[in-house]
Amino acid sequence: MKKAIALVLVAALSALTACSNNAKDSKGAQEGSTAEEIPTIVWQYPTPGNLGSGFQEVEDAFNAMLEKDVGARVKFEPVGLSESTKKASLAVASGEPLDIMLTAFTSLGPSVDSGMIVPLDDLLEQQGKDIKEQAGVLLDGAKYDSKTYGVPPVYIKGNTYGYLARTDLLQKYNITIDPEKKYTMDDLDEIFAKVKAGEGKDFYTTIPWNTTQDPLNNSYIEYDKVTGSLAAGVLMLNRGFDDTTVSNLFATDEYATYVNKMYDWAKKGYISSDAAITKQSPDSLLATKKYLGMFYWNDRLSASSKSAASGIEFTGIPMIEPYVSNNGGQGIMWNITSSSQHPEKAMEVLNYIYKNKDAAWLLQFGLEGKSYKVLEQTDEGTSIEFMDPDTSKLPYYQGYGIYGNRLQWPVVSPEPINKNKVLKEDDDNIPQSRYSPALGYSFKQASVSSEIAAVSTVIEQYTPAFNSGALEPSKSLPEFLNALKSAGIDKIIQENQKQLDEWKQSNGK
Amino acid sequence: MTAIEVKRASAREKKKNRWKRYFPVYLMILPGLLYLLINNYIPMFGVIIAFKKLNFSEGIFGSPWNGLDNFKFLFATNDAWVITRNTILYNVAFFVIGTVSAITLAVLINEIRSKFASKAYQSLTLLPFLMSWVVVSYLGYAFLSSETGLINNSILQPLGKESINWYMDKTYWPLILILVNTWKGIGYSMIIYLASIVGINQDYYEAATIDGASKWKQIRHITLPLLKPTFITLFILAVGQVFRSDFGLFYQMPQNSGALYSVTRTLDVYVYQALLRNSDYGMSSAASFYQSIVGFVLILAANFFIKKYNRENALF
Repeated sequence: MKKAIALVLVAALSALTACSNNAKDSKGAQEGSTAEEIPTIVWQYPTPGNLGSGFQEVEDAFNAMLEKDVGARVKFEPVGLSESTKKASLAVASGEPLDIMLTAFTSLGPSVDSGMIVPLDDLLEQQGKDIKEQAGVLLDGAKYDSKTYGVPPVYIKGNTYGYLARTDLLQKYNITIDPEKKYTMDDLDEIFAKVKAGEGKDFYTTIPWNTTQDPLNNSYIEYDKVTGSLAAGVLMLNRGFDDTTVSNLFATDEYATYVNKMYDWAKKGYISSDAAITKQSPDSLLATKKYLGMFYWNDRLSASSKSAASGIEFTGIPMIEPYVSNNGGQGIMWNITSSSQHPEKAMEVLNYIYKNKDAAWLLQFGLEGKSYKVLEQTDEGTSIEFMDPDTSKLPYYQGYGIYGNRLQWPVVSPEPINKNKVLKEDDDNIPQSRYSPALGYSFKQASVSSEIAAVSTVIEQYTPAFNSGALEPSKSLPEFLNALKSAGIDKIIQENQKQLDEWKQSNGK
Repeated sequence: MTAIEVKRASAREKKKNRWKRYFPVYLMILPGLLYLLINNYIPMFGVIIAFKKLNFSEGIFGSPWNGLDNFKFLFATNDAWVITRNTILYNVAFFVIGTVSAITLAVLINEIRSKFASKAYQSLTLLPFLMSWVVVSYLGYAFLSSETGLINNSILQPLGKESINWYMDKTYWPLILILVNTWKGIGYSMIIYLASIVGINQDYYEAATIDGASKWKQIRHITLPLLKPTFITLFILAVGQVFRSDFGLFYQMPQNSGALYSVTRTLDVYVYQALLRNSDYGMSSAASFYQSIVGFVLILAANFFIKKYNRENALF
């Protein structure tokens, strides 16, 4: 009996090992055969969660184009926008196939320092001519240690911020907005007071963005986050565009004024008292009709595109004159991983969506006739309309604007058909005097990375509460500044300043 | 052959026999051992990442050493003290309060005669344990939200008291966390104690009843002393966990509100927050290594004291 049991066990064990051996063999064989024919490029695909029923169809259509023109196939790897870097590091560490990854709103430093991504300069030269031509200076924002590591979507360079207010409420209270004027917090104060007095309790005039730490979601003052993070100091561009002193934003008078204002607004009931912890997105809060508006990106057309997307009519209140800063290259960009077997092909695929705008449209808007229909086509552009106003019901919808040259995209009705031209013109009109002096500079963070980790947690602890006016500044602001100091913010800023000065010297500025 | 040689040979024979006799048993351990080895021991080599500046292109072994640099961020702020204190104190409070309430509940449920009622109470107390922390955190939010919350709107305001902005005021949170944790965990530990109580030989109780001992006396002098081994085992397990914390409780429940960090942040939460943005494997490993070391020392210490007090109940 015992012998029988032992036999069974041994047999089971050997079967197990045999299985795994077989699996390995067959996988190896498979990889070998595809590698010889056309390589498959694994490409991260950012999505908030639901892919839609037509996702596979779009991938197949894109592959058909690629097979013909590039000689490659792609496999999209769905991933949450904010966790793309983390997922990629797991894939690279564990040897899972991944060729093109996404860096979204974080700095490139950690990915470069840990050898996760490769420099692209040579590849851009060979396989990425269209990217180089179209992106131009935007590629400077994807530099680290004077090498290019990322390919950004092409769009306007300038930053323009303001406040989007509901048009119906502005009309109700007879408030007219002068589109040429730059509104300050005090100007808004008056508007808020009027609306709040009329709408009463349970109505709020602004939504603090918990996903950003920047005061008023960047609408307050101009600064350049030269490293991509507030933890390493900023250039206070509001004081002058030629000043290259790195300052701790939180220790400035401007910031003190700001937090006092927020505290005041919260006390007056302009900001919801649960604002600092709410997990609801600004869009879903706006849809409750309990809010006047929010601080937001505000170029000449953003109010109308926000209205088109949300079904609520908005008026843009400009607050900041357009300016150019690269914010440490912080934004969205594609990177090629060090574990990629076919970096050249990966670059060719990336280049393809810039070279062939149909490919970019396909990935961004889906298939014509299934996800959208063309309304009008002129020399100035193409106007399209989604098949269903509720984008979550479309067979394919990519909510993040990330593919190719955005200025060659169609516009979504009712946005004006010449939108891209207008934006480009406005962008080209930004004077050189409103360009950050640190464009092209990148910070090497390796020597202070543990300080950055510590300072970032302190910032994350305090900023949501300050942004929603939930903390009393006279007590909490000094506490915050002390915590930053002991976490080592001064050391980071010093290092940043040193590197910036060296960069300035070697670039003859 | 001398006598000694004979003895040796027979000893060898015995050993051989024993090996032969128990061979199937050893064989049966094998899958379990393999599992432990693969799942728990082999990954331990990863601890070297804590002392390296990890570079993917050079691999784990090829990456350069960087001494204790990865540990620096843990101690860069005064937070290190706060989070260590929070982690330990909360675990102590959870254990003491959780154990007392679980034993009380187990004894009470054991005294219930109606089988249906007893099962019903068991299931009801166990129910919160099966809930996800995210769900629990929103139940909490329904109570505590300052705009729409039950406590502010339906209790404090009708009583003419001023509303409290719960998620911004840290005074109440130690209490809230202990309350929620006890509510959620009590069912589970109650079942463990109840199982030991049911296993107590009924003869003791019969003898006690004949001697005229009251219910209270029976509980005090029979039930509680016989629960001691269970208690000690659970205690040692809890000590080993003293440096870990329930991430869901400390992160989800306070809705990650910054104003509460000084009373809600534990080591796990801190590490998560610090590394959320830049996924640095070195620092993550360093932090979990620190956790393991302190947990290990605490287990040794606890076992040492238990051994002094009662040799039989010590783990090793």
